[in-house]
Amino acid sequence: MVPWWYVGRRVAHTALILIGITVVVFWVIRLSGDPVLLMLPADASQQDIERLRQSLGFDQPVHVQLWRFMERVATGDFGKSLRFQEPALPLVLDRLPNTVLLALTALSISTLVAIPLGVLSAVRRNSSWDYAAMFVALLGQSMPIFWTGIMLITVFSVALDLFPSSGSGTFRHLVLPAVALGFFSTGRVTRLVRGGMLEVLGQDYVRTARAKGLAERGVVYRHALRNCLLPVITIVGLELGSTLGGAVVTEMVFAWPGVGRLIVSAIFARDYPLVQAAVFVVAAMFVLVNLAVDLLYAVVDPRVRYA
Amino acid sequence: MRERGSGAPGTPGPRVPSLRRNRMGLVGIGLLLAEVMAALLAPTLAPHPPLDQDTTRRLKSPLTVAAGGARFVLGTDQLGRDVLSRILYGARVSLLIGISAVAIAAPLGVAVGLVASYYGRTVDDVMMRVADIQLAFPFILLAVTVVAVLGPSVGNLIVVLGIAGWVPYARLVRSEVLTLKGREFVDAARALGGGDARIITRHILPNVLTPVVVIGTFALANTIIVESSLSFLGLGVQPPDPTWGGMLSDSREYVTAAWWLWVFPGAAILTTVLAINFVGDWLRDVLDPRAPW
Repeated sequence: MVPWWYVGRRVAHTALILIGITVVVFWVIRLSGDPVLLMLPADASQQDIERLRQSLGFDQPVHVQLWRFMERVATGDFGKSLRFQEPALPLVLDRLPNTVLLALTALSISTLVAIPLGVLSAVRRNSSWDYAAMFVALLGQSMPIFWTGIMLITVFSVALDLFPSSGSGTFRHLVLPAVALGFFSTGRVTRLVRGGMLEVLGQDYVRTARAKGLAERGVVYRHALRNCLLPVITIVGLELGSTLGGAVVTEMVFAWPGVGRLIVSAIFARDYPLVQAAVFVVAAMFVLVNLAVDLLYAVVDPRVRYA
Repeated sequence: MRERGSGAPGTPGPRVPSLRRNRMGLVGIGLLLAEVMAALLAPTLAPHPPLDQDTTRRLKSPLTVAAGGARFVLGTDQLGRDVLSRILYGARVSLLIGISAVAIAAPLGVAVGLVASYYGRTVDDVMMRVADIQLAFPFILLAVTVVAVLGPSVGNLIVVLGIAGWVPYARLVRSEVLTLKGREFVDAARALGGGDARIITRHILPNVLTPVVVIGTFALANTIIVESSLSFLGLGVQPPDPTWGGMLSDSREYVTAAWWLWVFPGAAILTTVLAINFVGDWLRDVLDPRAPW
């Protein structure tokens, strides 16, 4: 049973981070000095500038602006998108399922590849299998997602015509972006599975399992792998962060209509209320998923110390 | 972060960095040195000025010899610019931004980590919460947004990527110091009358530098990927200045018509990042043999 005070403290901690995220999102568009100039084209007239400044409340003192911003965010109001003249948050939430689908598929692919690869690598340590697996892992980490994407498009869309190169809607649209995005995190997860397995394989209970004459297969999969999988859950939760970052690039390469593409196009359109809403949603999602992972972890693994 | 030396006893096989690993490290160092030289000597090595356009020779395939005897070893792009020269100049941008950003991030993170862990309590709490808040934003997303607001110059990219990169160093140093703080040599230094500043800089700092070098190497690889991603999105160093990410972005319209436009810049990024990762692996094996992974 997870003690209630632990749940309470984790939730309070998460709430604090969400407040921090809100403050960062507030400040980020003010870094250049005047956010109004940022949102208007260079040839905007003085009248336009003043009108926008007043309508967005930027003529108020900063602490008043911050307080109002926090109040509005608490009710889910990020203001109107300048480009679409609609509330910004619904526009983001509209695209969110696409990004979640892409990120989860990519993470599933990388986990499914990384676990067997990491186990193989650890069990056959310093063999050619180990070196080959580690090289593939390193390759994944060293190839920029957009290059992987361009290559996948060239081979599987243009040359072989197996999958569409852009857009969304069907399962076939999902394959190439998810593979490109998943390949990048495969490397890191493989290395961590390998490290975890190496550590577990040296434990006493593994030696005991071997000593009582269990087949090596049973030792590896029943005793060792099960015990190193739990930390992998945490790692995959944290990996979500870089996967969401990678999704920004992936969505641009494959014209995938998610939050990442929305952010980049909003930046080019100087639509900063929309940028703020989208960045907040991505960061908040990451924090909430990791809260869930932490609590789940405490439920699943009785050895967790509530430090 | 795992504690040092907690690696399971009786792990199969002695942990001696194998020759093969070292060989990869050597390959990495060699490639990296060659790359740095190429970047430094780009003005001499580049066969053509990187911005020299000529639409009469656009999209020439590699090894083309143009009228007048000009050679284009890696072909020309959609504006007739020499791909090899642009890649050489692109190396300057990537390495300059990557190395400078790490040179900002590492000292910043180490300083924060030392202060937070040495003073503990409130200072530590506040700094680690700030780290949590920053980690909530995916690195690329944070970089994209801040660079867009400040304007995409080389200087801004360095500052943004540098400041945004402090967290891993701070966390690493913090966990190392927490284990060092209770060790006898720190007590001894204090008993001999050493002040906080002296203990931190003379006794603790030298002990945490090794793992810092290792993660700094991996951070360099990652920064180069992020920088090229920003250029690819059009939010990094602006055209016409040559960048690897920018070249790949331009190549998208010519994926089949001109393969050399996406193969060579991509290979340049891959080689660089792979070489740095090789060096990182090697450093970890040599400097930190007890690391469990």
